[in-house]
Amino acid sequence: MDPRQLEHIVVKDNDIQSIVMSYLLHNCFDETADSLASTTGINQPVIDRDNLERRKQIMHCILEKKALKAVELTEQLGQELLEKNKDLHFDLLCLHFVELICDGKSKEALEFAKTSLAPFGMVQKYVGKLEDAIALLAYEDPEKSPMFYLLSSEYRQQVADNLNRTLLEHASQPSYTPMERLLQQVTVARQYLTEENGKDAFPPFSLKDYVKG
Amino acid sequence: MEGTIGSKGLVKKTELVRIMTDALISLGFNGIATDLQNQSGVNLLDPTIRHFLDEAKRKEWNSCIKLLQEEEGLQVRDEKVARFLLLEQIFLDFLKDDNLDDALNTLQEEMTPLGVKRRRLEKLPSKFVFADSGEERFTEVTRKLQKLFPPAAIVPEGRLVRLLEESLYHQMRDCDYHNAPDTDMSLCFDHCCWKSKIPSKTVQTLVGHTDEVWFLKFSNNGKYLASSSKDNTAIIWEINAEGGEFSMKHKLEGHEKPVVVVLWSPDDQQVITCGENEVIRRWDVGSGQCLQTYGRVDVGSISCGWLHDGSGIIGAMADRRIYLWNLDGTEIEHEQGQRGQKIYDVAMTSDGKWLVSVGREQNEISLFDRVTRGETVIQVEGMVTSFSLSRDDKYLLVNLITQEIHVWMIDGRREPRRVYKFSGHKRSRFVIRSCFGGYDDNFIASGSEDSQVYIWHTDFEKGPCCVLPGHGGAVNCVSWNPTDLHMLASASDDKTIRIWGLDLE
Repeated sequence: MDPRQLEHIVVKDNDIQSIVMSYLLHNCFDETADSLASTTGINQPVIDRDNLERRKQIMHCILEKKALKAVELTEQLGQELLEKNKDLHFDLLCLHFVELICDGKSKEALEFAKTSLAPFGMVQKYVGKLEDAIALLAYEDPEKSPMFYLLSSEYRQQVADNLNRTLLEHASQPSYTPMERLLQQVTVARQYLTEENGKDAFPPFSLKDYVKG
Repeated sequence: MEGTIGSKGLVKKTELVRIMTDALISLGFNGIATDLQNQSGVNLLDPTIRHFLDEAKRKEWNSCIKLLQEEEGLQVRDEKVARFLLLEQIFLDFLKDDNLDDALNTLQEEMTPLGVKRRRLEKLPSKFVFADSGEERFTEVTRKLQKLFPPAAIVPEGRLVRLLEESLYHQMRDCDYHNAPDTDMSLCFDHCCWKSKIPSKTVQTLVGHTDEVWFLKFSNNGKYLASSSKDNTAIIWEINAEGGEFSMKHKLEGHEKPVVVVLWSPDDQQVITCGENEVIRRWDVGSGQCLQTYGRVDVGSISCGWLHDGSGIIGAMADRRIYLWNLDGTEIEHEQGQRGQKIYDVAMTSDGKWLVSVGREQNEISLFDRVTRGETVIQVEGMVTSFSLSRDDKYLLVNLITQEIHVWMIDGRREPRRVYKFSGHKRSRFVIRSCFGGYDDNFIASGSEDSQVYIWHTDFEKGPCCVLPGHGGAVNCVSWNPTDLHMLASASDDKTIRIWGLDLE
């Protein structure tokens, strides 16, 4: 593809700022968003500030290993939210279980598992993850177990992201940012071109390489 | 007690003594077993292993662990696995007592560090949460513990008997044309019956019919023989308890046409006969009286059969339909429509699930599933003249116009497939019937137009193993006594029936 062709496309600054702004708001970086607005002078879109505050609080709970509090706050936002998203509910409860184990509260963890997690054990798709989580009990040092991923911050971030999207959906807001959508589109468009014209003409889109310049 | 015994140097003396000791114990001779161990100086079980297994039987797991650590003579194949198994039992005991602390402790501090059986280990914490995840039977646990030891350390119970049974079984397998009852097998001599146990000599000739005998069949209990003839009658013959000779019990008269088949009810109390293009009659064996007649106005009967439980009759009629009647003569609705061809033979499997029928124009056998109402059709290589079902309903014996007999496997779960093909006999104009028989139904016997009886063994398709001359006319049908491996009966155009037995010379 001829890079000179790109020069002909005009991209407005306003558009780019909108994209960045929507990303910040999606991920609850409200202070950064305010900062950007005041620096560039663009208007922040009218968004539900209250919803953003709540989401921010809930995300932090998860990242700070307070999964049960996150559940409580979520239920405040909407009773049926977790009932309709059982997968998410299960992940949050599992996180709490893992937190208890990491705190050395094995017996409490067991009690919690018996009351809150056991019902999920009846459904085939949760059994694997449930067994993994409970298996942590076999290890004095859960970090050294093969299931250590359950303790990682990456995993917590993943669950937090899922919850974030669900909350946005519930508030009738888009669950994916324009930024993500754009990147997804580029990747898919590239794939189509590659299929039509061969690998050498259009290598698959890689954001990492792009950013490196 | 060193060294080996026997000509091949394969049997170690110490092992022979040990399996003999085990055999003595299983026969109840504990005292002799102890004496043998004392006098020979050879123990059935090493004392340290015995101590270990005894402690295990008493569920003294900690004691077992201690023995493993301290006893020099206790050699296991993998010490860590052994410890794991024992600790697992201790863990489960703590769980049962609701002792969570000790259970967790055992798990985390003693079992996990062993570094073995990871998958099994990771399933254990679930037992805290899901109480009834299935408890292993104690026999399973002891079996696993026994397997910890090297193979020769423990003699499996009944080992000697098992070795002897294998040997006898091999003798049976190696005996071509084996046709002797299991009671003939002995530890005292090698078995080989070769063809000597196949009925091959006429021991009795039954005279009673006044025309060609077309069909015969032994009763299920082997005490009676029923035959049917062109002379419009059927005869029930009874075996004399002492002499083993047959005599006529009843002559069933009433048909006005030749009797094509005569078949026994499952309880042997009744028979049904089918007149050629006429009616079907049911008779009482005890009295010889005709109890009921079945048929359709203006439609003649071609063949018949019993419902598997004896509660009704099947009739294949000349209007190309199959009818089912209750014993009292009322018709039962049958799902099959009119067939495309004349049906010549029909039978129901003994579980009541299938109705097998054969037509003569198309080269096919129909298997009708009475439950699903579906039909499976087997295509055969030539016109079928008759068929016969094996006793276990798994095999179908099919006589073809091409002078071949085919055996099809129809076990219901897979597609029917042909497994054997036999030939050698003669058939060109008449219906010739064959049957399964002999040890484990491994033999096939058939009539033939050359007046001889042919016998094949299913392991040897190449040719018949026996050909029995004697009759003076085409042999139309044969039947092998289901309760006597050594008795065969044949029906012939020469108006007689021959009973065949062993040639004892």
